[in-house]
Amino acid sequence: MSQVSKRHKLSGEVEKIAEHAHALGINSQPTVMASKKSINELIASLQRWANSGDDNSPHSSVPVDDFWNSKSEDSNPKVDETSSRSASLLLLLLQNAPVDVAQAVRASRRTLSDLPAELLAQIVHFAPAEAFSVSRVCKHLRQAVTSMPQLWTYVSNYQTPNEVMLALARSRKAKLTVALFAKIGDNSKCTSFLHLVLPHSKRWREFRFEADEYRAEFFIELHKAQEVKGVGRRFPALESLHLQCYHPLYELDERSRLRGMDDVNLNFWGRWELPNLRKCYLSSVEDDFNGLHIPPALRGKNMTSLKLDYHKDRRDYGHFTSCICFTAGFQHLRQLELTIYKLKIEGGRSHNLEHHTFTNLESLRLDFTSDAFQSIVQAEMVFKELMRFFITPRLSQMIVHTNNKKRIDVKEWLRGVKYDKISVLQKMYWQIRDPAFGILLQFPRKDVGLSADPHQGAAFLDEPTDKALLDLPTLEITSLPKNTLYSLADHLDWEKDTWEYMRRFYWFREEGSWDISCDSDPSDDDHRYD
Amino acid sequence: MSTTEDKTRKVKLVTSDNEEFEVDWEVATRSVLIKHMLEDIGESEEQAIPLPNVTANVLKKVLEWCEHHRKDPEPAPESSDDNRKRTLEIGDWDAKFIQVDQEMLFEIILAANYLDIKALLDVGCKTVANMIKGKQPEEIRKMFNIVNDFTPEEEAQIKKENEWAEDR
Repeated sequence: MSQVSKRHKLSGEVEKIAEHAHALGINSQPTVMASKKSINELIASLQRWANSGDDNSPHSSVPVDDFWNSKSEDSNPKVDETSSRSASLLLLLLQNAPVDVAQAVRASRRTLSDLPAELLAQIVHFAPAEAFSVSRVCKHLRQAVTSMPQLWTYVSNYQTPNEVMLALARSRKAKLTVALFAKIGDNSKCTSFLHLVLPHSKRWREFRFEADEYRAEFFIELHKAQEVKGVGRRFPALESLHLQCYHPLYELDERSRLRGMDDVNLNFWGRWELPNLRKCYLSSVEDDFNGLHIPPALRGKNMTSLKLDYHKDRRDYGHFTSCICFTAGFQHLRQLELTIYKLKIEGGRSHNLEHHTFTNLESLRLDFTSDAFQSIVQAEMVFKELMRFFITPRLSQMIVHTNNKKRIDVKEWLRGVKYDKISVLQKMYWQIRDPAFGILLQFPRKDVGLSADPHQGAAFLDEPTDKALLDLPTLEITSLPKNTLYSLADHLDWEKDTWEYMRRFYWFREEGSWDISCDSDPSDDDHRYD
Repeated sequence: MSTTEDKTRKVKLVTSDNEEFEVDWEVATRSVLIKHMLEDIGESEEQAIPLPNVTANVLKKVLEWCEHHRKDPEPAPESSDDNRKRTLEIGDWDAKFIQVDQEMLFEIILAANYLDIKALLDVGCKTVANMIKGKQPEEIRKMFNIVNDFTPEEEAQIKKENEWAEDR
């Protein structure tokens, strides 16, 4: 853009100032020259003018816009004289250095309160619990955020009843995220909150229950609140259920205090009617797998996405297999994320997993925490078991994270897996955290009636935890000459034929060092090694 | 879908302060706005794309992000705000990238919004969201240098909103 056009852009601003100046009777051809002294005079004048009101009041500062709007007849002589002088100086500055002044004006706008409403909405979208704090900062923010119903859809028992009522009103007809907390030491209660939100059960889109303290009184309150209201059992719009209730204390005798009250336990939601539930997060406690029955709330045909944290503390292996059987009971499941904490491979009545298959599963993610396995042998056995019943014809993506302190030789393990078995996948991704190492295998698109959605893989890789790994140096095998490719295949000791069926192979290592050198030619994107 | 020819193509961008940047097509088209503009002007390689709402120092920073993310998959089709993930997690590289002064942070957010770079906009918005998370209004004012311009009546109203009822 030329200097002339930049000046043209700014001419509007200068003209606006000139109009104000003219209205105040100020000469548009000031005789004073712009200098450091004149700028200092301007600042001092504006400060004097701003301080001419009630000095002690926090609201006494006058917006600068009002400076231009002040008329000589309704202002005191001190302000009048200041206005004239300052306006003249400001006009001079704008005329002499329009580019710099405009930049300064622009820069001065760059703070939270000056963002357009749609950007404020995006920020609050990421911190929904902060909507009230933001609305109490200044007039502009308050006006911006209170006028957007989508920013008031979050209600929790951590908010005051007044806040809950306001959020319910401000959100108008928008769908709600309802959060209920019973955290250690927070002394939270739920009665008044539930009485306010249950009448809006038609609007609940997401329900989050996070409890890390087994607080019997809380669950009794919960039970009573539902009974008294006689409503709130049907949630036609509820799509997401997030139940993060795990604490070792649950294993203690506290539960016995609640015997005889069927609904007063962690499965209080089990009998809710949730016809449109799509996804569920369960942090498991024993009751979740009680008798291997899936609660009615989770049996809908739309329930296709499950995330399960399996927390058993070295219970016998039977518990683990019951967890898998429980999971397989979700007949419509298409996405499964399973996090496994502490496993034991012996003991208990092991369920026969052969009869449990995930017929509709398309995407699987398995996370093994650092304490998941007691030994490498155990890990390999579990992997083998998992591969046996998880890899089903519709499965296209499999991601496995192991964070184990013991070195698990995934390469060794992968060698033992028949290619026919894993080639039903489109993608298989292994990440090991210690030492950091990752493999992504991308196979040819399989022909089992799955939609060829190019974004599907992208979403898969875009998981936050993968993101960090993707920041590591990446080697894309399609950019490698054939010899190097075979070296890599040798390194992994895989059959060379295997590569014929693969499109891409990524190999990640920390510290930027590669085991092999590469001579890349990234232009040939569709190279197939044939 | 981009072609091999596209990937080798260079694109000229001109900022509001009249500085010209020549970047790879793949980098420039992280911006949906630029991508559409390039589609409009066709094969004309000489034609520079004017970006009147972005200054050189901000564009330089934005292009740094685009360069790093040039190989990222195409963003998924527009999903509604309600369905977007609310996680505040930011990747390691992005977290380091966005460690800038507040003025630059807001400039990046505005530029990402103008240039239609959804992922960068999310990084900026998440950063600000992280900054305000758990903060009281007064702390937010202090952090962003915002003047409390509420009238005493409005202050009283706000105080009332924030009061706990007796039965808590």
